[in-house]
Amino acid sequence: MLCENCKKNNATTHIKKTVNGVTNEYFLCPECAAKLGFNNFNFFKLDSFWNDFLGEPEIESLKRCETCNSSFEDIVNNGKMGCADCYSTFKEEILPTIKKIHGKTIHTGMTPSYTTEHDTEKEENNIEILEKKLKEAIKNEEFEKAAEIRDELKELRGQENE
Amino acid sequence: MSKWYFNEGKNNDLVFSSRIRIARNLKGFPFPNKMTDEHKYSVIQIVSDAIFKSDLKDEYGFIDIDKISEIEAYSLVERHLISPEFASNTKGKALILKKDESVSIMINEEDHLRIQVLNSGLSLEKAFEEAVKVERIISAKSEFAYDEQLGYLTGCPTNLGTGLRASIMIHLPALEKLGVLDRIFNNISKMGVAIRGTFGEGSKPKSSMYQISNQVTLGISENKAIEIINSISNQLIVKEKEARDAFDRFCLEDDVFRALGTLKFARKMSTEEMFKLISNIRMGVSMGILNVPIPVINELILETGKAGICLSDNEILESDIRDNKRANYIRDRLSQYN
Ligand SMILES: [Zn+2]
Ligand SMILES: [Zn+2]
Repeated sequence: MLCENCKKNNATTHIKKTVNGVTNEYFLCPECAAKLGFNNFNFFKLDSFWNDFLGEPEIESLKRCETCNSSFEDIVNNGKMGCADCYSTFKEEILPTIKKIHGKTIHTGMTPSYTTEHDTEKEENNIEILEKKLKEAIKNEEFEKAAEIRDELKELRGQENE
Repeated sequence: MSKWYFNEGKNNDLVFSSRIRIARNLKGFPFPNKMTDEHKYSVIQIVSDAIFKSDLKDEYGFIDIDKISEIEAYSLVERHLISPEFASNTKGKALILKKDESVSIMINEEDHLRIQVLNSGLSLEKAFEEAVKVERIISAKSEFAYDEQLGYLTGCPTNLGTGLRASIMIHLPALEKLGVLDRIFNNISKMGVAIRGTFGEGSKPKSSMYQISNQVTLGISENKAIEIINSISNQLIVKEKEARDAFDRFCLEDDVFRALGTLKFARKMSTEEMFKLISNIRMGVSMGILNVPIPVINELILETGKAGICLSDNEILESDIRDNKRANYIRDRLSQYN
């Protein structure tokens, strides 16, 4: 189904809003839902991330995780992601929340290939790790990710010069 | 094998413990809240195989948390080896515990794996090293859920990235008495650090013991997170020592010896009263007023909780009986110290 607003992107969000007993329904793409203020991105607050489900309007996602069948509503209601694949399925929905919790969206710690031999004291700092990831993202033409990394690099460099 | 808190640790008079906890999930299984029982037993099997077919096998034991009594489960909570949630809903869960209780691996808590290492004193680096050793042994057998951008994937996005929680428990009675803790905590909480009271209820626990841990796990390396907690700990140690010097030594000595007197002679001792008196004893030892070994003090607060004191009977005792047993236990352990 196409987004009723822009009529370009796929609709992933079903919004039901009842005003004075009249129910209106909309099918929107994520961008339009966000633009029109129907984004359910603020669910995770720092204290009680999950309890803050905006009572109205009712938003029903059409998207479900192919691995565990969770919808984004399920995740909000459970307070937990259903499986590892939920992160890629609901990346757009969850990323603003992640940014809110951690202030960052790019991992800079240990990786699966890390071995205890070359010790934790890798001389690499966060900036070098991010620069590497930036190059890789550009090489793979993942420009959205590259932009995010660039923002974080800018922020980090700013801190260092303080 | 004697328990972890009998080991010496840097600043262990002020820093009760250093704790590292790493959250991990196995690739190919949904997270625990979406798992079937079959999934859960498979994960338990995979993790146990990894540990008990490795060099670690002799140092560790397997605890089927579903088969132990409620008292045993809650005594594990009191010894900080499992979370209260883990003890309250035990189906499809298991615990792998190092014999000195310094390492506990909770299986199927909020994540498939919660690897926790507890050390005495300020020693987060050493604890982290041990946690990674265990993590690598398991990851050699089964891949973890990992994303290039988001790092290790966890049930709750608050643990995303490193999945690392580094925390210390620190004793701050003098700063608390001076009434400056709120201001100090307010300042350090701006550094992405969480603070809460521990051993006893409320934000001002009777034990004067506080837990400080990193909140952010994404976009910060493990070493950096540990470095922040270390640096806050060192600052708090200096400030607490300064605060102690600000009080009249004669009055502090009076507090310390009154606490010892009560602990050595009382016939009934509630946990809350014990936490308060032990706090005075710990400060007395730290200031050279008393000569009780720190591990003995640690033992008292870890082993004589509401569940711990019922362990030898393995039944839930009335609170009067518990308080009497606790008083006897403490008296016995402290009898030789003056
Ligand atoms: Zn649209
Ligand atoms: Zn899923």
